Amino acid sequence: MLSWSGHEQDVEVDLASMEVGLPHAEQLRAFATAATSPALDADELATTRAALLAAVGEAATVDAAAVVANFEMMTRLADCTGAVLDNPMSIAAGKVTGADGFASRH
Amino acid sequence: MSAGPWWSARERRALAATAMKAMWSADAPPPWAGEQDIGAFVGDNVNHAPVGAHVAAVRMARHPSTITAQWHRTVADALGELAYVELVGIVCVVAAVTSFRHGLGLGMPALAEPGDAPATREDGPATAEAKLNWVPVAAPADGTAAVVQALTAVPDANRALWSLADVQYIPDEEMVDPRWTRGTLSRPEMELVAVSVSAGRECHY
Repeated sequence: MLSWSGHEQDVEVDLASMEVGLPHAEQLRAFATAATSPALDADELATTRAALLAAVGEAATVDAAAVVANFEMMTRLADCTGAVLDNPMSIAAGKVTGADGFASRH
Repeated sequence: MSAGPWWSARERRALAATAMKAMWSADAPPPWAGEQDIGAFVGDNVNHAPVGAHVAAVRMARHPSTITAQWHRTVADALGELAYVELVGIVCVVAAVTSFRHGLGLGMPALAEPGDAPATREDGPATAEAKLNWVPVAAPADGTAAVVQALTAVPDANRALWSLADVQYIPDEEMVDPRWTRGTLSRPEMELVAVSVSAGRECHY
């Protein structure tokens, strides 16, 4: 989805390194990483949230938290129900990003 | 909190409380914790649902990337196949709601009192074995993506999950539009957040 939407909007995406040509990519990624469970470092989360807030504003920060929340839900849905990838592009992306090495692959 | 088809209102509340605690507590049990290990962590709630369901809720909420087909088979055989699916739905909703609050520094929500409503045992749709999931799904199987069909055997759980996804991520009908935006984050920005979380959770899917 990142690769596809980036391509459609002329955003450079390198899945292998996760380098993305977006103005606030660093703040978005740092906040998402700090907010992802079971990370319990409240200071790190507060710091990254403040940095994102300064970069993109309140509404976009709330939406970033919502997207984090959705993928906390979706990753559990996939892992708990044994969801299998079923299209060639996703399978290829798994190889490029290293996701094929995750324990949840098996 | 209302009853579901396979869990009573009291059981659903107890399992939601366990999932919430497992997600965010520093002292959550390890993935291999069994029934004998879980009582102190779960506390009084352990009396309101089968202890095996609490163990499963902890594993689903805290250690989902360690779940295997063999573990699913064992738990689903013990709880019931559709009770397992409903439990996944409970854990997923807990994850979505509590993660959003956690991300914004809002603290954990109080769970509603459950009442005494028993499991409804309402008949769901005809189900079929799936090739794309371990769990049974509404027939016919495998006509959609694995995550889309995953909870269809328990329609209320399926509706709850996708209504959350509509507001937290992207409305279903807009999913195919790579330029869709809520007016805040662009689609690539949303997907960058999504892939960061998925990688952090080591979710292969």
